[in-house]
Amino acid sequence: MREPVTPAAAARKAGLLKRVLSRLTAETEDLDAADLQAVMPTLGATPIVRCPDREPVCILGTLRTVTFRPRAGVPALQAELWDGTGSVSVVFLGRRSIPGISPGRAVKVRGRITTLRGQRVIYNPIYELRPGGSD
Amino acid sequence: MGMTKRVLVGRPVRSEMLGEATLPKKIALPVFASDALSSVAYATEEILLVLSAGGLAMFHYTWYIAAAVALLMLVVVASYRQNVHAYPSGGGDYEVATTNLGPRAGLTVASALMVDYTLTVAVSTASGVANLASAFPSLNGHLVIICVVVIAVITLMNLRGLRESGSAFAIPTYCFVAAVAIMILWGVAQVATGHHLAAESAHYQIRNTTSYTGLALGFLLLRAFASGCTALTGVEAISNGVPAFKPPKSRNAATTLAMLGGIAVAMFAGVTALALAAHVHTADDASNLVGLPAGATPRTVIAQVGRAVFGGSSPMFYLLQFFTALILVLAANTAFNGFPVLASILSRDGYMPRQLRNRGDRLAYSNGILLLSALAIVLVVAFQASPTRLIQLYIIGVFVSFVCSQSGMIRHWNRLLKTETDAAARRRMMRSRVINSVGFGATSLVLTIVLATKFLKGAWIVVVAMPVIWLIMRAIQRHYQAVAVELEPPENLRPSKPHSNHAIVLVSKLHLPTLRALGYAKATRPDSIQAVTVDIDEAEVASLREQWEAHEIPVPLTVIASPYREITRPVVEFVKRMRTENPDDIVTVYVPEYVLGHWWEQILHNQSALRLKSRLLYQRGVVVASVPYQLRSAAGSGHIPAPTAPRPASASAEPLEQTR
Repeated sequence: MREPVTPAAAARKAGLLKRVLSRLTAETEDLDAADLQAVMPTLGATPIVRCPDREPVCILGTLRTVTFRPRAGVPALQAELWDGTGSVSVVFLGRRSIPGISPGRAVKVRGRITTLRGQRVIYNPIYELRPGGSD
Repeated sequence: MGMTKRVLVGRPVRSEMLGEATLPKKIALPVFASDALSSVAYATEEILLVLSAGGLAMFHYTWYIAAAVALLMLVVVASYRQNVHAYPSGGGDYEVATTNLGPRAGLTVASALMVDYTLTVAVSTASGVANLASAFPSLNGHLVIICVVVIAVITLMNLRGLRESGSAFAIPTYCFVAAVAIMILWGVAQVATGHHLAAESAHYQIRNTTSYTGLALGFLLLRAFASGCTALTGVEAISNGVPAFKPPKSRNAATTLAMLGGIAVAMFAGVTALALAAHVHTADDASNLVGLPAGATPRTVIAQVGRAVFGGSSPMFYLLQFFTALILVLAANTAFNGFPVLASILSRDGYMPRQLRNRGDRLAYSNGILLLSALAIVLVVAFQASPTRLIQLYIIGVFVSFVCSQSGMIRHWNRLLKTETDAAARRRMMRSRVINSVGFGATSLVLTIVLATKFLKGAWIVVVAMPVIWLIMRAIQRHYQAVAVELEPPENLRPSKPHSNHAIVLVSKLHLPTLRALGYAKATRPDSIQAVTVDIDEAEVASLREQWEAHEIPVPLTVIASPYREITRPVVEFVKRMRTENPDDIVTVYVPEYVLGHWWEQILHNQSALRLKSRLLYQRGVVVASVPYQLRSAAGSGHIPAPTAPRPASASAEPLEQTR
């Protein structure tokens, strides 16, 4: 890399080029993450990586997976919520399915976050379906 | 496919038969010597062609050149008899050079020999077809295609196996030797009785000649000598083929070599003498021959001698031409014996792809045979089946390997002499060392001559090709080495068990293949199990969930969101996330797969499964398990019984067998 002549101008120039390039080369996942993070502050949500354990938090993200338990076991609906910075397991105890809790859906959840076996979990959060996502 | 192969190649031969595929001397001689003997058919001609550039006056030098070639032949044969005794394993020059001079020299020999084996096939076939065309001039327009067909036929015979091809090749070789012997004796008898032999070209004159004097004359003579040295090719074939001999292998091979040397020298001398006596005139460029009918191709020298001795339309002439063509074609077969063995040895040492080491159905090295055949066909087509042009590339490789192996043999004797104390054995070794030293001196001199005189005439192609092959083989060996080092287990070798095993079963619909995959996944007793489907079509996922509920399938079903309607990527990402959460664990992905009878049916299925499998292979700690489900159409091929197909009631005799 060669040294820029005037650092500020070069940074602006490189910044533009870099921005265009990164828009073109970035994974769609990274673009989605950026979109999510952009709306987060306006809705009062905290990025998952910055959520402290055992604290009530508000998270905005999309559901990447939804797991339906077989009838034989304890009823619970588990989903993986992803907000571009990390993911958290959202578990609704006593429910087999919840209308609207489906893969691809954007949701805002409030609850107490914790870490179980290396996996961040929120049990029985208050949830709010958001427009956007897959439907 | 299977039937075509059976018809062409024959029934597979059991491995135990391997030892049986050896040859007695009387068969080994024609199999391995047809190359060396067949060069009689063109060696004289090549000398005359070169000399013709200086005009007819030059032809009287032929004698000296032929004598030098014959002498060289005897020297090389004597040297190779030492090789055969010292290294009977069939590695030939490659082994001698590797053992005594190091792997680099061995590789040099190997690349040289591979080039030359390929050229042997090309030159011999081209020359054989040219001789056939001398008897039947109407063939002249189609030489290339005839050559290709001939190579294909030889390939096929070799794929069938050595022994069968051995006996098939013995008779023509002996017939050729007999025909040439009769021609020589008959011709000599005619000359002795004062009869005058005259070739059809005896009255031709040569136009556009340069007069050669001094250095230029010397160079021309050297070039003629270099061309005549083609007579020496094939001598090394025996030393590479020692394992194919009946025991005592070394002695039989050495005896065969001696017989080969004697016969080849006698025939070469005889043909050359008759060609001179009959005043055969030929020229490099046919248009320089004054007296040749316009547009005609001059006959080969051996054909002209045959016509002069037997008469143009006598059956003996046609027989001679026929057997000459045949033996030249069979000479190509020598390479088909040598090349695959060499390739298999190289591949054993890691210089060539492993496939070349495998023996095929008939115990022949099928892949090596096919490779050689393909290379030779390329050469023949590229050079328009012209023996004279091909011969310019020839014999450099052979002489490179001669030189390497002879110097290797000198080292071999030096090494043995250091420790040997028995006086008689020492004397024997000293004598062998002298023979090999003479061989080394002679062959390296000839190599220099050949290189100097042929380089601009096309030999540069070989000079370029050999290092390229050398480098490729080195690269292959480096790669195999690197892989072997990476795979080397540590000192305390113990298979380590993953901490836990998580099963993922891919589901698209709830049908028999899915159920089989689910059942199998559960049977492996994983630490956790879940079925996974991708949310592409909401209605489909909804119906899958309903069925899941309805059948009370005891496995949790995870639906993965796919905002961009992909299948592969969301699954791969999902599996990756499972991995990062549990780094010591194994994730096993069970993929239900349909098995169908025909490839065109196969195209219609499993496409996303195949893509997914190939992507998942690159994930560490992920095992992909294909759970096959054989559809009814698969029953016909692959010998799979139909999956619980309801039997027609008419098959009443069946139940007896089923109860067993």
